[in-house]
Amino acid sequence: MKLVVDLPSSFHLIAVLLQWIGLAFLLPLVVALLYGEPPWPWVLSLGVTSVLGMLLGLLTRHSEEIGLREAFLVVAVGWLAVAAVGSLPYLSLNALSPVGAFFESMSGFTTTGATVLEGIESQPRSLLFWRALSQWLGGMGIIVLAIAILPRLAVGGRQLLEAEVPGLEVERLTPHIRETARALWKVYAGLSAAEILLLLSTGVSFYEAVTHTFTTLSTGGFGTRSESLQTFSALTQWVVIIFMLLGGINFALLYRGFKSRLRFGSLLAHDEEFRFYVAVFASMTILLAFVLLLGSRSATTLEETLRQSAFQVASLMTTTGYANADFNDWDSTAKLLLLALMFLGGSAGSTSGSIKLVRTLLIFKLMGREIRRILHPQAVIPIRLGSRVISEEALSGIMIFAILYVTIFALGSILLMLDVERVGGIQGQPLAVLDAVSAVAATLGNVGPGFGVVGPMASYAPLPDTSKMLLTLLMWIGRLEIFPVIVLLTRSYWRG
Amino acid sequence: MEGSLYNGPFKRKWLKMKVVVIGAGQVGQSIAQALQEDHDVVVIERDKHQLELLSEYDVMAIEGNGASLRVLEEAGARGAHLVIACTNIDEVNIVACAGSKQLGAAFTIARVHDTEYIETWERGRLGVDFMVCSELLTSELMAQLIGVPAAREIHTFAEGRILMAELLIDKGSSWASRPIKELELPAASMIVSLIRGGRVIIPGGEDEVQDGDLMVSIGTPEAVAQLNRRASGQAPPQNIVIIGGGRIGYRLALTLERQGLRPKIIEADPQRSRWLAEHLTRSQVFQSSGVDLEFLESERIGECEAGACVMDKDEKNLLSALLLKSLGVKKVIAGVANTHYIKVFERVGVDVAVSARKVIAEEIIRFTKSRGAGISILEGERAEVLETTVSPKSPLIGVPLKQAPLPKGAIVGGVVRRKQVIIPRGDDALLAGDRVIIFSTKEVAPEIERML
Repeated sequence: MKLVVDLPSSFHLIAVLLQWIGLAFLLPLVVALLYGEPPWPWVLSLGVTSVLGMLLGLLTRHSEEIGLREAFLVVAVGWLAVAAVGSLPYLSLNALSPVGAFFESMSGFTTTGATVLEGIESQPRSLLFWRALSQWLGGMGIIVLAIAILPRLAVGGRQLLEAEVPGLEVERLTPHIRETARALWKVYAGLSAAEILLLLSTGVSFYEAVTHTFTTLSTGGFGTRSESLQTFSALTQWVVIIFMLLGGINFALLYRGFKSRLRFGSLLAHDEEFRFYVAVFASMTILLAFVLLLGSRSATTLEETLRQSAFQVASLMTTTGYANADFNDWDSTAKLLLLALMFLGGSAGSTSGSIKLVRTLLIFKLMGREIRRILHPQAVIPIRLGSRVISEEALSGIMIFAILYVTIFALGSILLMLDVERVGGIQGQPLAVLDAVSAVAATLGNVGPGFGVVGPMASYAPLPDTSKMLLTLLMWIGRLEIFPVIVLLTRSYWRG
Repeated sequence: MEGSLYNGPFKRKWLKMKVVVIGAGQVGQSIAQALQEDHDVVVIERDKHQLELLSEYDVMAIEGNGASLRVLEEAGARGAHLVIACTNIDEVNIVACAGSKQLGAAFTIARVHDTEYIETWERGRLGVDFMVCSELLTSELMAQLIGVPAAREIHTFAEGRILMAELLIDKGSSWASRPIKELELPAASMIVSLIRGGRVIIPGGEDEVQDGDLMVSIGTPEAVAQLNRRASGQAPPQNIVIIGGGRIGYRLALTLERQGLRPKIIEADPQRSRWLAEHLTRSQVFQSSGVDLEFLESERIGECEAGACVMDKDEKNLLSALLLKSLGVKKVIAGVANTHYIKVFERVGVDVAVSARKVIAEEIIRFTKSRGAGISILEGERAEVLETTVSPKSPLIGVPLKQAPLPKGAIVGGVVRRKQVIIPRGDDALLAGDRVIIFSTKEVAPEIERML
């Protein structure tokens, strides 16, 4: 049988993607030069990426038409390729093994924030900068970025965009997909500039303000200190809470809000997903604060309790993965609450990962409908989001997504437990169930840290290489929201 | 809703007009029938079979597309006083009006189904002088009939600011067997007559209201609602069921939703019921037939205070209306296509039968009257209500109504003066330019028209 996917033109697009992403190495090169660190790893990474991109470009051919099948391939393989070249600096600086470097790079671009890098403070600043930059680039989506920049993608871009952000229809802010992508990036860049300025005003150094901004708005979670945000001032932490929450809002909504300054409040108030987002954040913060107050390990002041609660809720719900307290020491109730938060995610169209609130909200509405249908079997009840009716096809897609998500989570947890058991545990200790499920939830949901060995102040380094590969795979699947990966695994995708 | 539009007032001599009617469907035929005697009527119709049906009327029939300028010219739209476009296709009607206007027609009326065209028309006139939507008119009338439980007929005047309702006084009413002067009438209302056994009575203060009377009253919508409550003891219904989610059912649900109600709407077609559920935010939509007894009982439809059966077949409407009555729904309205069925429906127990065709024909025929007068016919032409403007030469001007030379059997029920609604008393006098709503018996109607 004949392949129906146009491989040459798909790989041509990936080649173009690589050529452009290579240019990103110029920024850490500048940082390296500023701090007197060796520049050659960056020159090498830039060179290798560009040569690879060009070679691939020569071997393939450009096509004007990009179909649905090609879009899935470009997105899925594109993310793998970008993560692969993104691991070059870790390798050339000899900081990590190939498996570890790929894990770290994937964790960066997928804005997960799970790390295998140890002794963060002793790492070169240029490398930590690259780690943060990869999250900032991945946060808005590398395809969104590519569409905004690359002239060639102006037409076929919509399908690529929908493949990268599946499940929900991409909101068109302007008639041109390219201008939409640019609009989203404008909001993203504008908020980033604002956060840098605010962090500077709270006394954070320029270097840390930039790196933390990169990983806050992208809901990434990489830091420059091994204690995450714990050692920063209270004021800084509050600023970070606000910007993590901003990163979890639909950027299209923010864009329309900024466009119509006067209606900003009412625009937000009328967006049902946003209201749900605020309600979940507020109620979970209060709930966690109570749990912390009741628990053995409470903070010294009420402000600190609230700050710890709000910080962790914002961080895990938006899938950032920062911590301003070692929540690994909290009691099991608090930990279970945090684990539940990892499944929520922010709004659709934000930089956050996981299931995303709009899906949760719609699933709740579906449950409500089923209950009403028991009493009124013949009632016709459409599901609405705000005033918009959601089609039954979209609803079943959402349910199937949630089921797939939970299935992959369960399978991943079992595989992780098995793998750790296979190598005789970590430092002779078996992996606790809560720690294993937290690691899988945190990587699949692009959150970052879990509990125990993979806690917020620890790293994924002690896990065996096979486990790291499994978790790298989960980060990739999670970031692409499952379907593009699953589609590639079907027979009908490859053959007509 | 009793009585026929097609005779009576139109036999009188009005200004003879050239009228072009586009579309010989049910509405077009009704209009042709009503206007044939007094006016020169030309009907344009595309379909040969429909055209043949016109042979029984005294009108000129032209085969062709009414949206074509050539055909319009042939029909004489160039010098027409009135062009009425009432085909089933909204766009054709609008284009036909615009084309006629271009040719120089004096007044154009377009009938539409889609109310969005009315919104468009309200902003840009599109060459249409008046746009009517039968679904909108019918559903609004039904909503009024539902809102006033005792009403068996309602007519609207002065853009809805004055209502005339026939309220049924039944055994349960505390007003039965009481003289009119003792009744506590709301300030902005009056009783103009009683209909007893098909006879129109102009009552005096000593006369008693009897069980089974239809009390014809005029007032502002609020006053009529209050009057209804005092006379019948029934509050406006909260639980309403609509059987049939066609265009009228949908419009009716929408109108009721705007009044803050949450009607139940039952539609048999799965796709249509889904569409309804998506477009109606407050109504409860059920997918079922209007005659599924098990369903009606399990959803306790019998507990509704009012119901409207508006499916596409008269027989289905009749069956489901009687079913609703038997389940205990207090007031049931049924839509009817065939105007001959109106009396039959009401005889066998349907409270009110409403014909969309009649409603729209009535609305359009209003425009064939001189001086913009509107007429509503009551009780098999035994009485009528005239809405018109008082001319400066009228002998009624400046004289208190109790001394005015009005013939017996005529009552001024409402006055609109500089946008204010007045329900006049004996000491009030008319002024030139007042818009008046006058009730009169058939005998004195021509005299009244001369006086104004």
